[in-house]
Amino acid sequence: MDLEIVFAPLELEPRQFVVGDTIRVTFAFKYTVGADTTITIQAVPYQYRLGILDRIGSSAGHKELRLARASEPVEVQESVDFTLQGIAPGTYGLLVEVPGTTYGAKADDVLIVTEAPSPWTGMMGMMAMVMMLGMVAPMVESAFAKEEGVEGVEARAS
Amino acid sequence: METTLALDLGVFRVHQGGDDPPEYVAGWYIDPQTGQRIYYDPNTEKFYTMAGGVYIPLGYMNPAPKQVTLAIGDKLRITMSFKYSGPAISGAVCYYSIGVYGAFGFDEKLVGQNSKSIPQYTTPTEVTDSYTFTIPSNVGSDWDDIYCKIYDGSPKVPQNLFGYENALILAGLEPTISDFKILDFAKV
Repeated sequence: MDLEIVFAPLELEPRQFVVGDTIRVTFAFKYTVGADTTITIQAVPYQYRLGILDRIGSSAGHKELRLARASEPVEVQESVDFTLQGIAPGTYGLLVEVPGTTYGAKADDVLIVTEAPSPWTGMMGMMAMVMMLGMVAPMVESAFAKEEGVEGVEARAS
Repeated sequence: METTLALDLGVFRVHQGGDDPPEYVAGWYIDPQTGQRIYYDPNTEKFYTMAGGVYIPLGYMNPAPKQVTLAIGDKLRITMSFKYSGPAISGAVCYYSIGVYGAFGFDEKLVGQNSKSIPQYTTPTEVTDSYTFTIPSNVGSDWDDIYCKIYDGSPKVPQNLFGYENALILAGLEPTISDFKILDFAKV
């Protein structure tokens, strides 16, 4: 029996992030170069606006890679981090590229970015708790005081 | 690293009498095989086609039978071979070039040559010659064509050219990147 195995590129699944998250992208490529050189890799979210790929530069992350001289293709696997900042909630593509060249790879609509929880949301909850405690505490205190007073009288009477 | 690439110039003989008139006079001919209009130049003793107003020697560039990958500092030895019969020749020029072949002919980027003496042969006998180039640091990734020729000498040999297109894969100073892909992404 013949077993046929087909290798297909993996589809990147969309994932959810919140503004402020740092994302690590793992990428791979093959290269040849005539002399040792350093290249910069950029990872950046993007959206298409009027059909033009618009990079969200405020969220871009960079990494320098040293490529050793290679006349035969050499495979490299590396990662680069970027932080979602200065970005509005929405759905974005992910681009990893060598800026200034046509080398890179992208995946459309894989970054679902939501608003980070507002600090006021937590503060309001905390304030409500404090206010509740503020209201309840005196009542509990006076209740304890009454109980302590009775016990005290009984103790003295005996 | 040294790599060798061989080119075969075919069979040729010296001019009979050195200054014999060419077989053809200058002018346009019809190639009986292709029906193509071709021009004969008695000075170079070659047929040419005309494309975009430029005369291109007929059929001297060929698809490369193999590609050789090279980087800066690598050495490439090009070997030409041909079969020769005739009197002894002294001082023939074996000429080699690496460059860019396009619509405007062959733009020579690197050239080298040897002076070649060939003994007398009464039957077609294989003769070889070679030249070694060192790939310079300013190499362009489009310097991927090569050709060689033999000419001059005493007695004079007719110029014979032969070349390969896209014979070299050159790793220049700028990296060439392929198969770029995103493997994964996740919150750190």
